[in-house]
Parts: sequence; structure tokens; C-alpha cells
Amino acid sequence: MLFNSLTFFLFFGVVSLGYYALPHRYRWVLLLFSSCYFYLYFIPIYILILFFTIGVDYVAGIYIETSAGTKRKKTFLILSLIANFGTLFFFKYYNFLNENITSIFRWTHHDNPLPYLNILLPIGLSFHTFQAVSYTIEVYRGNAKAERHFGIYALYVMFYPQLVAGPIERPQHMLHQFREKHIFSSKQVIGGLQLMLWGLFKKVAVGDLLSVYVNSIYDNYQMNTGFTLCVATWAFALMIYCDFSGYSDIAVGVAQVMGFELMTNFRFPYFSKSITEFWRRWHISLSSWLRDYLYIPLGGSRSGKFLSYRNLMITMLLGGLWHGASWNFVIWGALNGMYLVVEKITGAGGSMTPAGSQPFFSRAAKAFFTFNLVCLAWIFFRSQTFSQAWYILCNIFHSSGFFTLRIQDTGLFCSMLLLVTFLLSIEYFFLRKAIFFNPVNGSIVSFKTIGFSSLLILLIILFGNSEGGQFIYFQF
Amino acid sequence: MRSFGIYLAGLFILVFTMDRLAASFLDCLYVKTMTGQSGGKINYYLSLPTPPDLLIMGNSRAYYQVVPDSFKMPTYNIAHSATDDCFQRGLLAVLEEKKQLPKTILLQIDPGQYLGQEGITRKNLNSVEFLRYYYGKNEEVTTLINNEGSTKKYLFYFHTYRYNGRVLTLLNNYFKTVLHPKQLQTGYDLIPAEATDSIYTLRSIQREVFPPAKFLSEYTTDLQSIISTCKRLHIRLILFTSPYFSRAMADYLKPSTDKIKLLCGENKIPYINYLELSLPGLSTSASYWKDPNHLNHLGAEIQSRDLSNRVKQLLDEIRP
Repeated sequence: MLFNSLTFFLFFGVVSLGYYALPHRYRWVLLLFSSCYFYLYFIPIYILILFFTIGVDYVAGIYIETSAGTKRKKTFLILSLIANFGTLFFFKYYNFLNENITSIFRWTHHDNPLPYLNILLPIGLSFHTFQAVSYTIEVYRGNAKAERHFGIYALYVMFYPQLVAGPIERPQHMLHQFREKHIFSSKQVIGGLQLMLWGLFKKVAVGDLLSVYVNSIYDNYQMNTGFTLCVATWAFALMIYCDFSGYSDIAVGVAQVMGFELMTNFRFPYFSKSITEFWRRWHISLSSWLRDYLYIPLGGSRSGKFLSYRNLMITMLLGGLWHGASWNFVIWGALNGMYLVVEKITGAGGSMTPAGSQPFFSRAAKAFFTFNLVCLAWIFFRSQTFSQAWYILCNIFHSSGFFTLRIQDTGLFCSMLLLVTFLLSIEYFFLRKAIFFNPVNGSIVSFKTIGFSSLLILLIILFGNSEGGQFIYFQF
Repeated sequence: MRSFGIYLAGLFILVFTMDRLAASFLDCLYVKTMTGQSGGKINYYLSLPTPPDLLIMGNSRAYYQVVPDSFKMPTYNIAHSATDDCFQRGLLAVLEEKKQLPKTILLQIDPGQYLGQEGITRKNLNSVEFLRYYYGKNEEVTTLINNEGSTKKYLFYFHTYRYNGRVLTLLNNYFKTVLHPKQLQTGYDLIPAEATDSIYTLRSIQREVFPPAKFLSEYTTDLQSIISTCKRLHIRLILFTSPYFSRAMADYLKPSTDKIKLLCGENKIPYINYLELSLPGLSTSASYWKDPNHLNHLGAEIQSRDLSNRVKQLLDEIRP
């Protein structure tokens, strides 16, 4: 069930109404059943995998908390990690590893004895694995209590708004929310609905429109030259932002309608003035997960400069691999790691400086430079193969036919420009200042808010792609 | 709860009002637009005092490849890119309703659209959606669009949905019409030949893939409907298939063209199949091609001249 489908909106309406209609003590049952139903919409049998890891982590959490010795606690933690990462490895990385082994065997003129498995990746596996792992680690560290209620714990992993593509939550932030009684609040519900609309606009109107152009260029990359490939890469950068942040906005909005608060996953990343700042604004729930459970345990920046650079590279490489079982994702991670290391060495990363502290043009130039560095890495992310990425990279910087811009469909291209300008302007001038979607600021029922919501609906109807596909991050 | 009620009511009223106002404004522009594929070409054709003798229908391989001026009779090219038989069926229904039917229809068909794999859902172009303006206005178009998906009809509660994805194109075409109000049109647009054409074409055929597929007669429903409509309305129908640069593509499509030949034979409809006919230079020189599936204007002129001769010969032979 996709967030951009009519079925989902019916489902959402029924669940939200049911949630407020039911007495508090039965609400978790409704949420758990609806989350199961939501998941069953994809590949039903895979719900067994989900319940397997939920069962393991539930038991492990209790044993970690109740065990006396550190060694015993660690044993249960390791068992939980094996169950979670083992499942992730089997479904996501086994065939990738196998292909690489086959290449090595072929090189030595031998046959690979390992079979190729014809399996589909369970939807959202990487997301709920990381969320489940954060639970057992936090219980082990003593930062969260083990959840004794199986239903509530299952809900922590399966809560449908964030089940398939995050935000990757933490037990301290989520578990208590399932126990709290949420009373209907107009401000909260309207804020949530507005956020859902904004997310839907980003996905259906902007992202899906950009994807038509990006696919037409990237799928025929050999027929295109310099500036066209460059524009398509910029378009991809915006497309993946609209797709993923659109999903996150809908997820946060859906949860907010029912009174839940999910963490913010994106904070206008393309206005970042350095890569360091970019990673504080892009997929925040993943980057903070990697920081807390990988970078810091590796030693972080405490063990000298060289080791901190190494830790950063390992974190970003694994972060890249998390996105998909392909060397292109590893390269994408490596490039971002390199950027961060260079910024650390040169001190260019700095901190998130307040908007007024630098002249506008200086900030704009830095943001544009950062955006292009990010785009350079996105080439590897979007390309199907390394050779495709390399070809695009070489041809972007090739002078032959550089200024030939292949537009394909003028109407589509102009719509793209119009919507991207609208999106970035709204984000820059209004959303950064929390003028919309903020239940605290001003009156939620004003002509301004109703007008903005209506305008979004109209733009979705006029420009939205009703045949648009699924969200990109579902595949991770 | 009261605030939420006010918000919902306000949203409903404002969306409804904005939708209807925007749709009325776009409707006004649409009916005055006489150029471009997003309705203008159809409007221009419908505005002609008398329908032409010959009407060319099909997709981009007719739109950019069949030059109406090559035919020695009043001819109009109403073909639309990225369309299949479903669109042509809907368009024919519109022309019938508007009583603007030609004597002869030269319909380009892509044999690939009848190929598929049993048990696998057909890849749908949804091309009938190019006729969204006629949703609710023409019964056949409405039915065809509703058949695209069970939730489709709900989108049409918003009147502006009829212009989904086409607002800027419509504005552009409207202003073109305003700037050149009396321009005579044939409906044809050329793809100018460029120096890089042959490189693109030769590169592209190296990347061609042919998924296993066979002819599925259920995919010819729309074509059969077009045939029966033409019979009912006494319109002479001639089918043709444009050439492909790649020989492998022609071989891949052969099972489909063989079946179409049989279908045409049964219905006494002439079928000009350029996958089996050789045109001077087209199969050997990539410089006539924009890509392996589309001729540039040089290639289009060669195909049109030949097509014109063949059509003339056929019209002399066949009777309505």
C-alpha cells in the first residue's frame, strides 16, 4: 500500500477515525492490526520474518535487562544482533556477496559452489532492522527499559507510518508514546494533514515529474552529453529529496494526526553550506543512528585525528552499503566519507552558522558548491552500473557538445522548473521559519493555512503524476 | 473539534471553488487552442469547414513520419505521440460525435502493442488519457478512461484533472495560436535531421532488448473496434506499419505482423507493412533516422512519397 495511493488514504481515514473512537486501552490493538494489514499489502509471507525478529528482540530485551552479569547481557545482545543482521544479510547481501565470489572464481577459472537465491528483499527491511537493533542496544546501555508488553514492542517495530521507510526511531522516543493517551487536538490533526499534503505534493507533483525527465536521460545516457547529464543529475538530486522527504513528511503527518511525534528526518538539506551540515540535515534518523551505534563505538573523534578519519570513512562506507547491495552505493558512501574527511582536515565543515552571519552571496555560493559535491556522489547512487556512472562523470566534464541541452518535452521541463522553484521558495521563505505546519505558531485555522492547503491540492491535481511509482527508499 | 470542522469545510469550499474556476479558465483556453498535441491539433481538425479526404492517425511514427503534403488530396495528420490503438479508438468516437469524419483513414499501427506474455499484465500506455478533455462529454472516451483503473473516475471529480500535466503546454499552444491565428496546418511536425542522428541510431540498436513475447489476440480489441466502427460508418480504412532501422526488430515483430495480415485479410482491409517493404536507403543509412524507431525529416519524406503512391493505388482499387 503506497502513501501516494487512494487505497492508503481510505486506510488512513478509517484507522485514524477508529483510533479516536476506541477507548485508549484498545488503541494499540487497532494500530498493531492495521500495521500488519499495511505490511501484508506488499509480500504477505514476509510478515513471518518481521515477527521472527520482533520475537527475538522482545525476549533478548527482557533478558538483557534482567541478566546479572555484563557477559550475559552481552551474549543476549549479540544473539539479537545476529538475528537482525543475519536476516538483513541473508535477504539483502547474500546474492551480492555471491556475485562477487563468482567473479573471483571466474578469474581463477573455477565454479562457484554457492547457489544464487531467487529471493525478493522484504520491504523496508533495512529500516525496521535498524530500529529493532537500536532497541536492544539502548536496553543494553541502560538508556531504555525493556518492554514487557509484546504488543507494544511489536508496534514499536511495526508502527505503519514509519514501518517501510522510517524515520528510524529510538525506543526512548517512541515506546512511551504508545502508552500515552492521545486526545483529539484540532491543531495537531490539521498540522499533520498539512504535512501530509506537503509530502504528497513533493512526491507526486515534483518528485514523480522529475523522475520522468531523469529516467529519460539516465536510461539513454549514451545519447546525451555534458550539460544535459548535468541537469539530469541536478534533477535527480531534487527528485530523491522530494521522494524521500515527501515520504517522511507523510509518515510524520500520519503519526501526528493520531497524536504521535516522529523525529524530523530532513531539514532543508540542499541549503547546507558544507557536506558536514548536509549530513546533519539529510536522513537525520539514519545519520544519527550511524553516529550513535557505529561512529562513536568505533572511537569517534576521541582517539586522534587519523583514527577519527578512519572511523568516518568506515561509517560512511557502511552507510552507503546500507542503501543497497552494490558497489555503486559503496562508492557513494566513500565519496561522502572523503568529503567529510577533507572538511575535517581543512575545517571547512564548521558548524551550522546562523543565516545572518554571512553575506547572502557567500552563503549561496557555498550552498551551490555543496549541492554540486552532493550531486557528484548522486551519480553513483542513480547509475545502474559503475561503467554507467563513469561514463556520465566523464561526459559531464567533456567539452564536446557540452552546451546541448536535451529537453525532450518542453511542457514537462517547464513544469519541472516551475514546481522546483515553487518548492524551494516555499522551503526557503516559509518553512525554514516554521510559518506553516507548526501548531505552536499562530492560528492553525486561518485563510493563510486553508489557502495554502488548497493550493497544494490544486497543484497536485494539475501537475501530479497519478501513475507515479513507489517511493525509492522502499527498496532499501 | 470545531477548528477542525472549520478547516475541513473551508478547505472543501476553497478547493471546490478554485478547481471550478481554474477548470473554466483552462476550458476557455483549450477550445481556442489550435496548435500542438495537447488538444490543439484535434481542435484545428474539428474546426475545418469540411473534413479532409484522408486522415492520418497513429503515434509518433505517423506524426513525424507521414507528410500530408505528399498526398495528392486534402490530407490531415492527427497522429499523437506515445499513443496506441486505445487512443485512436477514443479519437474516432470523438470525430464521429462531432460529425467530422474523413472518407479515408490511414491508420499507423505498431505491431509491438499486440505482443505480450500470457499471465503478465499488459504494459498500459494509458494513451486514451490524452483525450481527458472529452471525459464526461463523450461516452466512449469516458468508458475507455474508466477502464484504465477502478479509482480513475474519482480523479475526475476535480475538473482541473482534465489538464493534469498539460497546463504549461496548453498555455504555450494557446499563445502560439493567438500569435498566428490564421496559420494553415497539416498536422505534421518534422524532426529535423542532425549530424549526430546516425551516431545515436547506431548506438541505440546495440542496446536493443527483445523480451520473450507472443501475439495475443485479446490485445487487438481496440483495433477490431476501430475496424468495425469504420465499417459501420463507411470509412475506408488502410493500415500501415512504419519501418524500423533494426532488422532484428522487424524479425521480432514478424509474428505480430503475420497475424495482422490475417486479420486485415478477413476484413478486406489493405495493410502496408514497411517491415517487409524496402525503401531506398532507409534500411542501410542511419542518417535518415533520429533513432532506430523514428525517421528524421529526410527519411519521413522518402516514406511519405512511397506511402502516397501506395495509398493512391489502393484508393483506386478499393470501394467504401
